[in-house]
Amino acid sequence: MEVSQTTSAALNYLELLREHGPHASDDLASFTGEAIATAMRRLRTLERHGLVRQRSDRKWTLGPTLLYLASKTPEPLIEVSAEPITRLAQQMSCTVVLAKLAPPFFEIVLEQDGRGGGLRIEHLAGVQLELWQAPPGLALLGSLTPEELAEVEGRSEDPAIIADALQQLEQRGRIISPSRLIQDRIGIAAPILSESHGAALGSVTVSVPHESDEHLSNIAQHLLEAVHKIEQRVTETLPGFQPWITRLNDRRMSEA
Amino acid sequence: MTTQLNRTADRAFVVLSALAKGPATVTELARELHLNRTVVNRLLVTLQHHQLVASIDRKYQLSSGIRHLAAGVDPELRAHIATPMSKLADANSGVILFTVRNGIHSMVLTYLTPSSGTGVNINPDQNVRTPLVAAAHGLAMLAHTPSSIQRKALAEASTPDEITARIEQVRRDGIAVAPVGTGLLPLQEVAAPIIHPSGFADAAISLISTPDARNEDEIKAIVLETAGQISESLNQAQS
Repeated sequence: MEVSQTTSAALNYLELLREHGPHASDDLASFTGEAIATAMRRLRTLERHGLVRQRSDRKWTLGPTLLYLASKTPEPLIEVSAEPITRLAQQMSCTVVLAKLAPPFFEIVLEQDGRGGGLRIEHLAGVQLELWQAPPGLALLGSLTPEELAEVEGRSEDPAIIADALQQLEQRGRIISPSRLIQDRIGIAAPILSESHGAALGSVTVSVPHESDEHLSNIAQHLLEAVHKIEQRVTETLPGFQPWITRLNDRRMSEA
Repeated sequence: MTTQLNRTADRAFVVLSALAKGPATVTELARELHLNRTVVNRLLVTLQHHQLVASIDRKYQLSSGIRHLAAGVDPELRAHIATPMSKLADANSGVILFTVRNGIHSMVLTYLTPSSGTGVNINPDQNVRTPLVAAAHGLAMLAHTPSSIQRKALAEASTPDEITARIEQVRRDGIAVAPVGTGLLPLQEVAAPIIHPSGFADAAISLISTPDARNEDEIKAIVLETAGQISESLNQAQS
């Protein structure tokens, strides 16, 4: 389907103001090559929605509505992960969760239930849980600084849980482990790694009742394919991930 | 002279605002906004082209392009107001608002709510345009806006003479005071303009609190002082 040229032309003014900062109407019209009357019509339309505002010095600047919309914009990790996670949940008929690192905790940011899955969604999105307590957190251990890892070990009920998870991550790039939070569940979890520096942006976990080893291997294979797909999308959507990457890099710099 | 609006672009921004409530399908948006599905689809494709929305699992949602644009909303201004606003909030029990002028309306750029229970339970909506004549912060700005803006704002007012008198008073006192909302608890807003070296004000800082929370003169003095600090800090940065 074709784009709306009128809308697209109006949106170009937002991008101009983002790139060049506040400018007067005639400057903006020069940038776009449009007549001033046309530019004014577009700017007034944007102004009506608070997307731009005109200061007393006659310069236009980006408007507060963008801050409001940004506060309502889902996390970029959810944006790129939602489709592969939904597909995985449906393929495996199981519950899949997306988690983010918040040392010494992890936070579930998305829960997806596959049709016909034997397990219910726990509705834990937004809740912070101890990293050692469940597979979504254990899959993120490889991205901790030594200090953070020591703290998690200190908080865990058994350091062997952490050692086992780290060994599995190193050998197979994923873990299979029981949950210490919810009884009779096994999690197959893998970290989503950033191509640029290998740090985990999050983890994907398939949650199943106790299953045969063969079934778990099959799930693990599909899980790793889904995670790979998410990692590809992360690379394609890199600008949206910049704040995280910066934060992770900062941590590594301070570590060094 | 009134500038005509772009009807199609206007609808696209209505669609964008609707997505702030959460992901929605084309059909859901068309129903909610009373628009044709084909029209909504085309607007979404356009917004997607500019990375302002993304399509996931047949639903559209706001996308990372919004964050990119939002980072360009008055970054210097926001950097200069963070500390003074925080100090004002620490010293007073009330909601601190920082508003900017948008034509003849005001919009909340940022705000701070009190950390402990003070009885001031309001959550400022950043997506609402309030007529300048309808709030203390608007009057604070209106007292220092170009005459063309004042004329337009007064033309929209139901009692222009009264507003004119209040604007004069704000110019004399340097501060505006007005009751807020219609809730059970009476609240008042004390606002001071952030004045640019040109003499104009496109922003205001205000404190919303219960009228008896503290001596009104004391509140006026501290709001005025904070506005002065912000103006000075901004003017120094720009010179």
